[in-house]
Amino acid sequence: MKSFLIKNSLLILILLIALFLRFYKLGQNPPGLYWDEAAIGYNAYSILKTAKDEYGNFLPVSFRSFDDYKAPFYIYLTVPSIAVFGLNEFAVRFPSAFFGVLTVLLTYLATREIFKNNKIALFSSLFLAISPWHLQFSRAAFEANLMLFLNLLGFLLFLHFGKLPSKGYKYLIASVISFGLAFNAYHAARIWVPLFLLMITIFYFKKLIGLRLKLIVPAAILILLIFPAVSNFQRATTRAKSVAIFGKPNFMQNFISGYLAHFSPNFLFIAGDQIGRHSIPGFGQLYVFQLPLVILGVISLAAKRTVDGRLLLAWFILSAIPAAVSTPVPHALRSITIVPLWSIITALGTVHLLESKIKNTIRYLLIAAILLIAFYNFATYLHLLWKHYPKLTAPDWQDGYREMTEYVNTIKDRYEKIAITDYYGHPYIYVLFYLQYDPALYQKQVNQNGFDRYEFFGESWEKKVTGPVLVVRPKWQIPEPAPKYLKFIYATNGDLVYRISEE
Amino acid sequence: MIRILAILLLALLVLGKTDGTLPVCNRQTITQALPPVIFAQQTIDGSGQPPVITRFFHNKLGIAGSEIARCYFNALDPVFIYQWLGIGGLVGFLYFFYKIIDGRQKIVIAYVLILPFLPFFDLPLLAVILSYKVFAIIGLALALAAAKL
Repeated sequence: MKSFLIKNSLLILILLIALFLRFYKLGQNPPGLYWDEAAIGYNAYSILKTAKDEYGNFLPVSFRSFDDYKAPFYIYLTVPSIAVFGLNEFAVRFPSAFFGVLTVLLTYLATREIFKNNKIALFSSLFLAISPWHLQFSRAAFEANLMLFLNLLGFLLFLHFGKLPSKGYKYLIASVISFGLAFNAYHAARIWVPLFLLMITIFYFKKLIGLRLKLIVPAAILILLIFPAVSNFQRATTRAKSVAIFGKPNFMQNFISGYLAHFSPNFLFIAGDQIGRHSIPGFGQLYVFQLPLVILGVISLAAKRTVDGRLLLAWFILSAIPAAVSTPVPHALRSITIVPLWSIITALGTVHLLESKIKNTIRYLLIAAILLIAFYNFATYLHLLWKHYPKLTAPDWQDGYREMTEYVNTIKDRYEKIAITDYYGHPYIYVLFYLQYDPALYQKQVNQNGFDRYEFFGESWEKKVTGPVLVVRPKWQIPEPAPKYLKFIYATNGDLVYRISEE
Repeated sequence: MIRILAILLLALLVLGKTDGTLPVCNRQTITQALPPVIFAQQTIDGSGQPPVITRFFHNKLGIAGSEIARCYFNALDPVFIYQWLGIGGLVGFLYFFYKIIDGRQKIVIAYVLILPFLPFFDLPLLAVILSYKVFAIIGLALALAAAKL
């Protein structure tokens, strides 16, 4: 045990860094809870308590939620988390953060398997552990992060099979199961997983075809796992249809531009994704210090003549396709499968630089300059993440719902009705989530416009009952004459979000 | 003969493509952008934070560097290059870039890397685009010459 710890001390240290960066104040930053996270949490809670989703469907293979029919796997994985930690932000984000840490470990293992070089593997895992791109999606309940983990796991198991085709049959079965689950983890996986499987089939065609009849079992497992999504195709593609560019004018031109946008240096190193939930405003998807290392790494990867090296290059080239067939672009979330590759490429560049035959003085100067910039980049990232991000993106995360519902909960019994604005989107799910409303009770009265004593209103509210009503309005709705205000709710950035009054 | 015809055809396609735009980004825009950006960043940090830390993360040098990089990368953006060169031209351009790095052509590398600075100093964008087109055609010719036809 002791020798194992000493032998793997650097990897353990990297995993501890990954763990700390992903779990530290997970429930508080990002601020608030995005409505998809609230829906994942409440549906998992509903499954835990009743084995049914919020609509009363028994163990569904696709969760209707906001009529976007969410992929099921993340929600099912959230059930044990909620059972242990309760229905709160931390529990909903726990699976993403947990599998984020494991992705760092898998990156190490996959890189070591491919390059047979511990140094490259350690650097790859280190760069992923501190990657702003990966951290962003590991610190919130993004199903795509789980898909990335499963995809990498399937890839690693497939590599084992590739090395030992005769003895490695069990690895192929395990790999297929992993890919099948990845297919059920995220909407964009329905484009990515078939594409990825096609790619590895081409690269390992001879080894696969050599299995002959033995191929039937993994094929059957794969079909079995993707069948629920395929049989439910119409619903499973509801979300895809709303964002896809298929059938729209200039499809090919938009596809190429969209694809290339994911390799734009400004997107990668300066500005990042423009959606507040996907990156820190004003910070790139990668660190600036990675730029020279990435250039060296790409050249180094292109020069690799091994099958696995070429496979990585093909993976790198294909990664942006699921994001390019939809809008907006560039999209950090839909192109998440490229994230470990950026780390691996940076690691290749780093080792290339460390072992290059240039003069020692120049090499040391270069390393010192890169280290200095790396330190500044990382410190700036942490500063922006902890100081700026909660303030700048509070509205993106629907910050304020928690405080509002907690306040409403303390005085709700005094009122005949509680009217809440739907201005900030899907208020019903937040009331269900934060009040831990009994799922069995809600399933009897499914209504996103109102249930129990709660009603949700749009542009304006009109009193329809005689008794006292608690009204929660958005900041800009100021009725005349002014009602009796009980409380104002502010977001983390100090902005007024709700005015709560008694009428 | 086939190679020469193919190169001529691809060169015509690369030269004929004229589609892109580049956001205005130069010394003047950066000078204008600096004070509001610094003010916004320092406001977010708040007054409770030691000024040394605020200065460390939000200073003229860092923000100007970031803005200059933004201008520079605008002219190196693959979408911008695709708009002016087409997909074949972009491939040729990348192959050219790969070949000059592989062959350690230091002067050419330096020239390619300096080019995107031209719009920043209000020098004509056309010089950048025409150079890119030439690089792309050379890249395509090199690729075709290396191909086993």
